[in-house]
Amino acid sequence: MIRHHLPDTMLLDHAAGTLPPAVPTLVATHLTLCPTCRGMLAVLEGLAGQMLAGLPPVDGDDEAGLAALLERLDEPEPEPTVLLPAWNDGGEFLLPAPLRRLTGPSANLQWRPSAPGIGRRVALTEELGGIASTLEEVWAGKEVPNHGHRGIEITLVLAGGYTDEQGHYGRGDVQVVGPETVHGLQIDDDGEPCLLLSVRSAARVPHGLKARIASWIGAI
Amino acid sequence: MILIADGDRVAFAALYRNLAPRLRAFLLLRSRGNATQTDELIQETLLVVWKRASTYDPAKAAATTWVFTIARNRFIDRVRKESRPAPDETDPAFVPAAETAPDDSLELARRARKLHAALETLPQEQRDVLRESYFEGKAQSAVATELGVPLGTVKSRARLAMHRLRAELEES
Repeated sequence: MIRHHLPDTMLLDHAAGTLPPAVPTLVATHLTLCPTCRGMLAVLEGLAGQMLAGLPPVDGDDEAGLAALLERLDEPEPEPTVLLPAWNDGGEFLLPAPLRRLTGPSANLQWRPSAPGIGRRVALTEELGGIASTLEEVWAGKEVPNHGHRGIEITLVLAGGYTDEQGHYGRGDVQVVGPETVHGLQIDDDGEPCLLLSVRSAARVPHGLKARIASWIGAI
Repeated sequence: MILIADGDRVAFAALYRNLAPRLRAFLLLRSRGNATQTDELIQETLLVVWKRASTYDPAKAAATTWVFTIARNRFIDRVRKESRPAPDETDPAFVPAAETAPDDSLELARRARKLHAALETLPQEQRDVLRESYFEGKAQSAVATELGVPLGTVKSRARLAMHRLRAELEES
């Protein structure tokens, strides 16, 4: 049961296609796990359609366009693109398909130790436009000491769970924190490591991005 | 739309003539006047309508709204360098909506209608900000300049509008 959802403003940005790199993958990964947010997104897309349908029409050469299109109506549909190889490894389902597009098979991930004895991490995308994404695994029962953030950090739990001052986060839950947040995490002590997809912005982000990022943490 | 799903080309032509000028208005606005791309996207959109007419559900949205949603998604996917990843129902990780009453889809449709009605009752200034900053894809600073109001005003109007819609969604 997902308790922590995507901010509405981020869903709107996703619907509008204005999210910065790496964030759409996190959003689509959450959407795979969350029927509630899929419902909200469908509603927002419908609202957009409703608003746009009210624009005053602009005439053009529609007879030519129609004639050309009528010629194409019988074209066979292109085969759907197959993005994913067959996954036989039982553990793969931990990574929803949108994320697997980025990671490839989990056996090929180049993990590196993170803080000693606490867990490991693998960089997924570089700091494209000031935003980087990382897959992190923290061992069960460990504590991630109090830490701050350079910019914004969006975390999606893929397995296991953790607790901080805001509450408990389990599979599918999203936490969005800004630079002012200092928190420590207590990883669930149930034997399962906590797998996290984390998207971080640099301390400095392009100017156009600032307002959007602020809107996700309600800091507008 | 039922006629089109049945392969009625006359009905399709009528829909095309009706919607193409309105789609053009939106696509020209979003592409900042790119007429070639606009005509291509009108064609692509209506082709999708032809192929997918049988999946249109009148309980969920007006036909026009449905077509505009297709056009918008086409436009966004065209201009983005990376296509937007989307959830895949065949993904083993995909979590379907909980199965509840058989009239679940009616319930969703009712909520969507309520929300659309709520949108109509938003103050005009909030609707304008919502439309321009999100659905037309303008930066909030550009919207502020255009409307001649401070950036903070644009932000607070967008926030108020979102709160109202979210409240409506949670209440229903």
